[in-house]
Amino acid sequence: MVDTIVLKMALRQAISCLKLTEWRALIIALIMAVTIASLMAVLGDRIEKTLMRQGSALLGGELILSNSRPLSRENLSQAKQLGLDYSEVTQLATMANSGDNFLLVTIRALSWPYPRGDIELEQNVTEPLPALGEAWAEAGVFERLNLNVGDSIILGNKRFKLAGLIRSAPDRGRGFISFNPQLVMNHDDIFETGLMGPGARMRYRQLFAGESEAILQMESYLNSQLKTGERLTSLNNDEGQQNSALTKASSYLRLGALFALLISAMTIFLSLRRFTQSQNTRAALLKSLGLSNQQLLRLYLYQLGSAWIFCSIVGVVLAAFFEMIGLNLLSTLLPQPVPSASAITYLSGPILGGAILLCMGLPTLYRLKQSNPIQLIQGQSEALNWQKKTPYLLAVGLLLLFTSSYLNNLTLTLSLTATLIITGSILGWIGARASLTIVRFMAPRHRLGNLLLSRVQQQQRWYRLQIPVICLLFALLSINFIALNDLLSRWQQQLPEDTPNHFLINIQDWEKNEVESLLQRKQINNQLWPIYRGRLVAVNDKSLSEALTPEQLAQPSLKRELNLTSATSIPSHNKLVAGEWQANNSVSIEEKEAEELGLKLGDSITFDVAGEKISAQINSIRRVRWDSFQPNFYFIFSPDVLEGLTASYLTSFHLGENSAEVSRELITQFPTLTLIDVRQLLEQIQQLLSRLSLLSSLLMLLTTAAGLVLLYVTLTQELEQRRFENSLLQTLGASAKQCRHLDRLEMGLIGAISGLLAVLVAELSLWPIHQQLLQLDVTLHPLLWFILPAISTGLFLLVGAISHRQQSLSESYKFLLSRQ
Amino acid sequence: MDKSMEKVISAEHVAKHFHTQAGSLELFSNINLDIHQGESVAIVGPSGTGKSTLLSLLAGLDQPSSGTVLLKNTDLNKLDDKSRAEFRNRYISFVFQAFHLLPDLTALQNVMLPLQIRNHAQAEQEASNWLQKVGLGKRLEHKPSELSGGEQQRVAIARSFATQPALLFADEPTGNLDEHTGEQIINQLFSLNQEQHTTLVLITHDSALAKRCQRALRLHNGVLEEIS
Repeated sequence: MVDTIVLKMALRQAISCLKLTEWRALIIALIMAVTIASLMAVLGDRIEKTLMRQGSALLGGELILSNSRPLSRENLSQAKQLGLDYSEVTQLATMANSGDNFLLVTIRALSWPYPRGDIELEQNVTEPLPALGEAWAEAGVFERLNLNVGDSIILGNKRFKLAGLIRSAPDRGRGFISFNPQLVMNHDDIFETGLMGPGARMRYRQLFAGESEAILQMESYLNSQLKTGERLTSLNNDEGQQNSALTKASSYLRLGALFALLISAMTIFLSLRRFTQSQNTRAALLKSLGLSNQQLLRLYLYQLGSAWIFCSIVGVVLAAFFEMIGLNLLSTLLPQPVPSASAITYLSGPILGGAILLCMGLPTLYRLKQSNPIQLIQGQSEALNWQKKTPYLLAVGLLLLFTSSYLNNLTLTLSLTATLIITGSILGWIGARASLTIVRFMAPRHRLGNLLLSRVQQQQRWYRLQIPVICLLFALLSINFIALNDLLSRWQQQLPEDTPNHFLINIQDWEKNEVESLLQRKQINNQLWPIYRGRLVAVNDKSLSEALTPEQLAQPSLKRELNLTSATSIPSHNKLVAGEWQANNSVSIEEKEAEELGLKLGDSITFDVAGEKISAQINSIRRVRWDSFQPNFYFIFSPDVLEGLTASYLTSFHLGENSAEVSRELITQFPTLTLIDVRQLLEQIQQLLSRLSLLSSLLMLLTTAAGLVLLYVTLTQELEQRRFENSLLQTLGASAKQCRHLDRLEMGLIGAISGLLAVLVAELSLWPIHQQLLQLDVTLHPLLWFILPAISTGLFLLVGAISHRQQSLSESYKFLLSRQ
Repeated sequence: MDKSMEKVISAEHVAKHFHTQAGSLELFSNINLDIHQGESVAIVGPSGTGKSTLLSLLAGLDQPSSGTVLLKNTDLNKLDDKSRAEFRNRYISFVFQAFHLLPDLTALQNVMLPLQIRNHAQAEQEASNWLQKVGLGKRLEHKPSELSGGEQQRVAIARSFATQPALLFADEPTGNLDEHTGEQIINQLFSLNQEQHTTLVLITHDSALAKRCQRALRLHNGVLEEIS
């Protein structure tokens, strides 16, 4: 039962305590924790919901069969027999053209409506599919081509009327192709566009939905019929969705929140500890006035409870505000409208905040039971006993459990927490030792050196917390920022001026000469590469299962058709690393592919190209730069091997200022060609990365704010000692300026050490990221070496200045007397 | 006492009052006092009468509400922070009841502190000499926690004399010590005072200690009167 008198006392106390630094810090840290936890849960929920929108509706069906080759129509009769709904989709990326404007779009051609989920349009349209000669398009198509509903657009050979604006649609597909703005058309129209030539990159899908029993039967039927290259996805095994970029982003955001939550928990603990210490005398007094231990505990619990309610309200409001910013940043990436989050997710912040408060607060407040009225008589307050660590270990364990349930991943939470703690401890140790070494060196050389040494010696344990928190925050912020920026800017810088920026694919044999002459007329350097699609079927006349190990058989390049080509020599942008190019019966293989498949010079390999077996001997091994924007191939044959087989052609070239003119001419003259403007692709990636970077920066900024509150709290923990030192120093003849100087020396030193360590951590982490992940040359970031220590020093000085109010001489003297 | 000696402290019509929530609280309204070079003066009086406040005013650590305090003919309140600090460092020292040594510094480093603030070239040598003088020559590298209360106060005394001040203010210097140790400390304080010709102003409850001073003043109900 609520003890109203104690409750009233607690509320009064909660308000009057606002003048205490530690109570204010606790309130701020709690608000931070609630805001960050709620924000991440809500954003994550909305992103996931967008992706998983009504489960099957997002995929368009419950069972999906897909391949890059046409699928068997027999599957559809089987589905019909089982009473399932079904549809067929053909998807491809192509250039849409409207007057002078071109846009890379993804087309989905539907034979029937989706068995699950509807295409929602802005307009009131009753037909489930676009009529012949019409297309429905996403907002991106209208915006980027500056079109309105009712305008027309040319796709390949055919003109389409844009009859509808898609608000949301299932089956957007995944991977790179899903980033393009999408168009939906009737399946009967796709052939007339002429876009489905032999070299076109199509995706074919059959989607099924219906009774779960029938779906299971269909699944086992399809599995038994599964041809090479076919992929069956059911709702339950939809790994692709779980691994999509945005789902990853969503879990990345939640994990990013872990650091902020740990920092907030630490701040709450330290503020509570100091708060409890400061309440010692008050507690003793209340006891002497007749309050029981139980009532005392209840008093402080009510006080914490009132703080929790206040912080929850403020935190959730703040979370809603940041949620708006976050969604705004992601608006172009998420299919609109984004479903709203469930109300319960907004509560996850208050729940987690409450858990932190309870776990950290109970063992801390429990110490107040020790406060003894005798100390009032003796006139001096005893320090509380903080020796017993067990309740805290239990509290931390409990907290980790809460946090991992919030993050939905116990192992990841534990391993990340352990990594942070271990890295933090090492950094803290290094930082604290460094501060001591530097000051020892300074001590005999600086007037305040000895005092600084004394200060640094007694603050060591706090440095071990302050330095790693700020250092890790800054390092993470820099890594996040630099990695994403470097990925694009330095990649582009590394490419020569005349790097191809356009790819022309899907050139048919009969168009080859005309395309070549057009490009020559425009003085565009290019080389046409014939493309044959084939699958490796034998090595040294043995089937793959006989010739290769299970690991080699698992290589992704064996699971799909590869683009093969023929040439009279090794391309100039490849480097020969072994063997020699030969003009007859030979094939040149890419270095890594050879390594992964265990292929070596002299091996004979056999490909199945459109049903025909072709074989050649490996005579050379090449090194390929995949990010060179040149056409690159795993296998290049001598022309005699592939002679007589049908090929489509591909070329890449650089277009400068005449880009629009040449594009227009190419598309007009050869409507079925696909011209891919790489700059547009790069722009899309850049947009995706910069949005994600901004979103994570938003989170990191919140974390930094949490880190600064922690820094403030740690600086105020030893405020008494600092006041004492400064007071003594002033009575010994130091000026207020010198005292400030000492404080600044200390803060500056710790700030600089944290900043420098942050640079080291960032550079060391960026090294493998650049080398392995981004495959860029490893370079140092000189600007970082100035900026991080400068910002870190500035922040330490700022927080130091805020936390240490300079006292007047008479205050200093009175302070010394009060410690007699 | 030779009144022709230099006046080191001159307080005229000194008043001090504080503003509290209940209104203005007056500690004293008209204190007049001259102290000459080399004098030893004890200020006694019941608790709460403002002895420590008076000491802080006489030492130039606080400003009177009205009236003037001149230290060596200088009004410290008219100096800027830097000059005031330099003046304190050059002419004034304090000994506190609670010793107030920095716990992480050795005895030697604690004594060196005011010398380092002054940028003294031989701070270490000087500090070491002073610790020898107070009988702690073998305890130079000990930290305060490794010293007894008496030893700690002797380190504090060495620290206060190390700058060879003109004025030494002591606030209950034996308050935290047993009688025997207290007496030893006082003996040392007085002998150094004589030797260095320092002016000593001390606050005490100990009437025996007050009697050892050349002058004893009593602060009561805002009035400072000479009792011996």
